[in-house]
Amino acid sequence: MSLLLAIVPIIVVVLLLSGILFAFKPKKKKPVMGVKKTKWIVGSYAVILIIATVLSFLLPIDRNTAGKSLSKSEVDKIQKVQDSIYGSISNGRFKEQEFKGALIKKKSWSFPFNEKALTFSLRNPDNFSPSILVEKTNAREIQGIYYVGKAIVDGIDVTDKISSPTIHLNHSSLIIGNPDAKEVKFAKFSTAFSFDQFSGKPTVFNHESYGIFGIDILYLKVPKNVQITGDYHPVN
Amino acid sequence: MYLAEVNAWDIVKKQYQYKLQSYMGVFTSLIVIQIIAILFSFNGTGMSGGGSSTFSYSLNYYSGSMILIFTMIWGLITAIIITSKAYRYDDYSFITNRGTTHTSNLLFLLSASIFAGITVLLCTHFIQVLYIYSVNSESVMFEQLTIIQNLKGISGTILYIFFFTSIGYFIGSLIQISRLFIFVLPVLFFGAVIADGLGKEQSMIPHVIKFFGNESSFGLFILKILAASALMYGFAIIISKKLEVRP
Repeated sequence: MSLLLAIVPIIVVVLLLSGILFAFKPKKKKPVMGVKKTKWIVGSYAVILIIATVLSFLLPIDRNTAGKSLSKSEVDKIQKVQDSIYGSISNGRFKEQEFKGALIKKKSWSFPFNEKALTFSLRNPDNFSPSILVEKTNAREIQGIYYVGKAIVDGIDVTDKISSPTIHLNHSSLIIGNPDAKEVKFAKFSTAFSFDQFSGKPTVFNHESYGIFGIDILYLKVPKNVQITGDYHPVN
Repeated sequence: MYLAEVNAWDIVKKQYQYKLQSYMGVFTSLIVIQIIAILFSFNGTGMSGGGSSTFSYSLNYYSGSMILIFTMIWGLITAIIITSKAYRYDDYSFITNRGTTHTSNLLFLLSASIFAGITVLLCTHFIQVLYIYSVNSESVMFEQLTIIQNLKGISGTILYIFFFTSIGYFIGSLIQISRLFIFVLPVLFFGAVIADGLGKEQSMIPHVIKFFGNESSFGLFILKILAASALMYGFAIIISKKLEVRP
């Protein structure tokens, strides 16, 4: 039954198209349109399409993201690197260069710091709880770097759409606030399936959504002799 | 020894030029069909969404596939129309034989497929422009293809349409033998689809579609589709030999 229902639209479309085509079929005695007029119409159509194509390349890209689509294997590679991040962290190691391409530096802060102790607090831990990494340094300041794992939605890199958290230092207390909640509507345009077929991208026949999402790391450099309270991973 | 030597290729050329002029109507129907396809595609072909507490997204998909499918059906029906008597008898204004008629028809359908294939790509850009200027608040992603990918895509598109013209040419030739096929062929086709669906595993049609649609090697795809088209045109030519000569 479902199959019957599935082919109903096909029948409707075929009937519709046949109707149109037969309506335009030139009759022997009296053609629907003269050759000149038809040529003019076809020519204008082609010109309109060409103009639209040129326009589509000149579109105001700054307010739109002309994201380059990533293939499944490229995304898998990034995912693999991201998977290794937590293993590395639990071993007390974090080298940004090792995760190049999979982890993006979003924002950095620095605060002069002369206290003996430091407390972390998350303003809303249910909504946002990044992994906090702490490296002890000789500097007399606290440096914070927010890293976000490359976020990919169906092959589209959306990392730059993610906002950064806020950080405030209040005496010896570091308050980490939520990034602004962001709702983004994307429209993804693709060419016909015959274009995807040879480009290694998923086609209608093997389409699967793929993406990665949700790595938040706050990397803090804290003076050596400061006593820290809060959940964190010591690194390096 | 004749006063005027008749060269078959010259006749094909003349017939082809004549057909380009007088079959212009098929391009008007292409325009109408592509406009309908653009309207259908403008609704989007799918959507997905997701996110976390701080970031959520919804993704609408727009694709040129519907335009291609409509254009393929256009190719099929155009080829059927071309084999009809009214069109076939046009060639008798020239010195002709079946060979030159088929060759000029094939050349015409190939040219029509090339034009249609290119317009399929351009229509996709047209939808993008239409979208940007009518719904401008969203973030838009364009699938960016390299020049090579674009060239392969256009060639693939043209070949798909050309393949459908070959099926249409074959069907048209069958109909010329007996008009009974106008009823028999749809019954056979939809009967096969339904019979196929009754079994637990669908086999025939999905396999045929996957045979072409899942071929990611461009070279193999050309080979498959040209062989299949040649087969269809070959059958059509063999069938048309059975047609009586015009009185």
